[in-house]
Amino acid sequence: MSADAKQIRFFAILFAAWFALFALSLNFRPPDYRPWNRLRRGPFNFKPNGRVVMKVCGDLGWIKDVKELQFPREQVFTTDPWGYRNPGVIENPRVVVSGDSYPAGGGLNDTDTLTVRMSELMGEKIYNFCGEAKFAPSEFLADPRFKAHPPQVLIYSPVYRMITPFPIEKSWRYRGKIVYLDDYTRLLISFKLRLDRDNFLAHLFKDLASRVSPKLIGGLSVYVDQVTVQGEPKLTLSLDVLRLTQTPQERQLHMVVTSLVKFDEELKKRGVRFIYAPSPEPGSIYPEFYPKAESVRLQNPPFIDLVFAELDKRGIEYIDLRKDLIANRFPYLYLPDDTHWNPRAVSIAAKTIVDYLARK
Amino acid sequence: MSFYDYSFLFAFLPLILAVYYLIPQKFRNAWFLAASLIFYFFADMNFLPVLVTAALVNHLLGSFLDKARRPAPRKALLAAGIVFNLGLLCSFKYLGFFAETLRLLPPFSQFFVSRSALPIGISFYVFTSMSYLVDLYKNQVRPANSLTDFSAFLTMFPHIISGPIVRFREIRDQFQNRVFDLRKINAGIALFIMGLAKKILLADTAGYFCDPVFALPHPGFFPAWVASFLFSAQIYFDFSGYTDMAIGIALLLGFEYPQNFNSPYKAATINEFWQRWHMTFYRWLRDYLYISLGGNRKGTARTYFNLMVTMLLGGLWHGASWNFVIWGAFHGVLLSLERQFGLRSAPQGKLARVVRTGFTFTIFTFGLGVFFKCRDMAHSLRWAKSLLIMDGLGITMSWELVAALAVCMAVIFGFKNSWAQKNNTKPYWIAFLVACLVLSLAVAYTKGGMPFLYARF
Repeated sequence: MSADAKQIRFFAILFAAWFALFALSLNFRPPDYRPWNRLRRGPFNFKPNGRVVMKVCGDLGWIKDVKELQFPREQVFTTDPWGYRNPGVIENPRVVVSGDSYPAGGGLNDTDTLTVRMSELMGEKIYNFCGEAKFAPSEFLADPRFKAHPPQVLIYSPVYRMITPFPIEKSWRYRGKIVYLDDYTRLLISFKLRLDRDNFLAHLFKDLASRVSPKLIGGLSVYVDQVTVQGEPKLTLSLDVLRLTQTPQERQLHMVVTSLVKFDEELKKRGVRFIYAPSPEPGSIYPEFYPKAESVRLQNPPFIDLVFAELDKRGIEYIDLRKDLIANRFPYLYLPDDTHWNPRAVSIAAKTIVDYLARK
Repeated sequence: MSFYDYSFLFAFLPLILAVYYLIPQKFRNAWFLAASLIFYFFADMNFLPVLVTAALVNHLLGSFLDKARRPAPRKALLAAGIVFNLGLLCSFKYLGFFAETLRLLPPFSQFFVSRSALPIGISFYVFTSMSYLVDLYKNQVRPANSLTDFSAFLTMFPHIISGPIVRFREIRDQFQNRVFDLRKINAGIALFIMGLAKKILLADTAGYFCDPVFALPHPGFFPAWVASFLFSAQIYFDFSGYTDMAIGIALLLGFEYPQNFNSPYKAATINEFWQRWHMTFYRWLRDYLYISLGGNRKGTARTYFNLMVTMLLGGLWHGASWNFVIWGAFHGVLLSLERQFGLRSAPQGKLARVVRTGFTFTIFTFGLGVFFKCRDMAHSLRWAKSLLIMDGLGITMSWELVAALAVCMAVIFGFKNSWAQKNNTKPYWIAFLVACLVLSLAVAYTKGGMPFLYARF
C-alpha cells in the first residue's frame, strides 16, 4: 500500500468513527424510535380543573433514556380550580403548604402528596400551594384568596437545592401556576448548565447540546449519577447538581436568610405563622453512596445547618426533616428513576410536620 | 467550552473546519480569528474585551516599533509594551496576592485589594505578546502583515487557554502560506485523540484516586507517596494531553506548533527535565528572562542569581501564591546544585541512568506534591511530614490506588510519547486510536471530565 493510500485509509477510518459516534449520539434506535416522542415531551397543557391519568417514568429515567433504568408507573394528576394540585376544592384552609415539586408530589400519585398525607393525619384539609420555590412566597403574598382569608399556618418547603434568595413581591401577577414534573426536568437541565458557566449564550448552546449528549452511547448524563443502594440501581442527580459542593458564600447564605426573614415579617403582618421545612434530597440522606471523588468535596457543615443556625438566631420556626428520614433511611426513600421522594418518605415527612404542629 | 465537550467536538469544530476549507485562502485568517473570538466568548465572555485590547495595543506597539529607526524610541516602545503586558498580568493575577503579602507587615495591616477573577489564558497571551515585541525589537521577526493576522495569532483558539506558548517568529510564515496536507491532518487527528485519552482516561482517573488522599489530614507515608506519584501522573497527562489536543487542532487548521512535552519523566537530571517539560514555557524563560538577565556570561555568582530569579518567577507564573514561589525556588536550588556539582548532563551507563531517572522523578514528585498540589503552607507542611515518615506509615492503603499508579507508570515509562507516534498509520494503531476515542468520549459524557489543571494558570 502506498504512503498516500495509508494516509487516506487512516483519515477515512477515523472520520467514520467520529461520524458513527455523532450518529449514535442522536440516539437513533430503529425498532422503537418514535420521532413524536422526542418532540412531545409530555402533556403540558395542565389547566385548572384538570385531571390526567398517564403512564410515566421518573424525570431522571426520562432524561437518561436507558430502558433498564426506567420504572414506568400509572400516575393521576389533578388540579383544583386555581391550577394547584389538590384533588377537590378546599376553601379557606387553616394550613397551607408552599414549595416546589417535592411537596407538590412530583413523580407521585394524587393520593401520595405531602398535603394529602398531612390531611389524613390531621383530619382536616391542608392546601397544596406549590409552584416554583423561588416564586412561591410572592405568589402566596399576592394571592387574593389568602389576602382575604389568611391561613393560620404557612409551611414553606423548598427542596434543598432550590434554597436560594427569593423576591418578596406583594403585587406578583397572579397566575394559576401548576407544577408539572416536566417543567422541573427542564429546570434541572438548565440548573447544571448554570453551575458550569455564568454566561447566558453558553447556556443556550450547552442546553442544546445537553439534550443530545446524555444519550450518547446510552450512557448516563453528566449531571445524573447511578448509585447502588441495597443492591439496587438508583438514579439520582449528581452531588454537584444537588449543590452540596458549593460554599455558603457561593450559595448566598446571607441573602437566603434575609429573604426568609422578610417573608416572615410580611406573614406576621397578616397574622400567619411561618414554618420553614425544606425537603431533603438523597444527597443529604445517603452521601456515602455517591462516588468517592465527589464525597470528599462535601460541605462540612452542610449548608442547611448554617441556614437553620441563622434562623435560630432570628427566632424563625423551622423543622429539620432530615432526622426522621435518616432514622428510617432503609428501604430507599426516593423513587428509583426520579429526583423526588417516594410515598414512604412523604409519610415520614408528613408525620414529622404534624407532630411538630401538635407539639407547638 | 472544553476540547472534549460535545458542543465543541460535534458542532463547533466541524463547523469551523468545514467553513475554513470551503472559503478562499485569503479569508481563512479572518475566519480563524472569528472562530477564536467565538471560542473565547463561550469560555470567558466577561474578559473578551481584555483580550481584544491586548491584541490591539500589542499590534499598534509592534507597528510603531517596526517603523522606529533610532534606538531611543525603540527602547521606549519596548518598555511601554512590557509595562503594558506585565501591568495587565499583575493587575488581574498578582495585585491581590501582593496586597495580601503586604498586609503581613504591620504598617500595611489595613491595606486591602480583593483578588479579581482571572481572565482565561491571560498568562499565556501576555507571554506570547511580550515575546512578539522583544523579537521585533531584536529584529528577529518581521511584524504581522495586518491586525487580522496578529489578532488571529494571539487569540488562536487551540492554544489560548493553556498554551503551548507559541512565538510569532515560529509560525509567521504559516499565516501567509498554508496548504492542505492530509499528513498534517492525520497527525492532528492522532494527537488530538491521544491527548483526549490522556486527559479523560489517565489524568482524570489518577485525579480520582489521589484527590481523596490529599484531602486526608494525616495520610501517612505510603498513601502520601502513592498519591504524590499519582498526582505527578495526573498533571503530566492532563497538561500534555491538553497540549496534544491543542497542537492537533492547530494541525487540522494547517498550523504546525512546536513540541511542548518530550517524555519529561524519562529525564535523568532536573536540567534535562526542564528541557522536556512544558518546553515552550521553559524556552521562553530561558530566552527572554535568563539570557536577558545575563545568563551565565557574568560570572558564577550572577549565574546562580539569574537561575534562581528565573525559576522563582517561573513558579510565580503558575499562580499567585507563596506555594508556587517556593516550588519555583525548590527547582532553582536543584538546578543550582546540579550545576555546582557537575551533574547537569545525564550519566552514560544504563543502570546509572535508570537510578538517576528514578531519583529525578522522585524529587520532582516531592516538590509537586508538597508545593504545587497543596493549597497552602499548612497543608504543604502536613504533606511533607507524611512524605518524610514523620506522620506514621499510613493505615488506609488501597490496592485500587496502587493499581492506578501501576497503570500510569507503565504508560509513562513503557511507551513512546504521543509526539513520536503522531505519524503512525499502521492498522493496529488506527484500531487503538478508535478505541481511545470511543472510550474517552463514553467516559467523558457519562461521568464528565474534570477541568484542565493548567487552565487556571
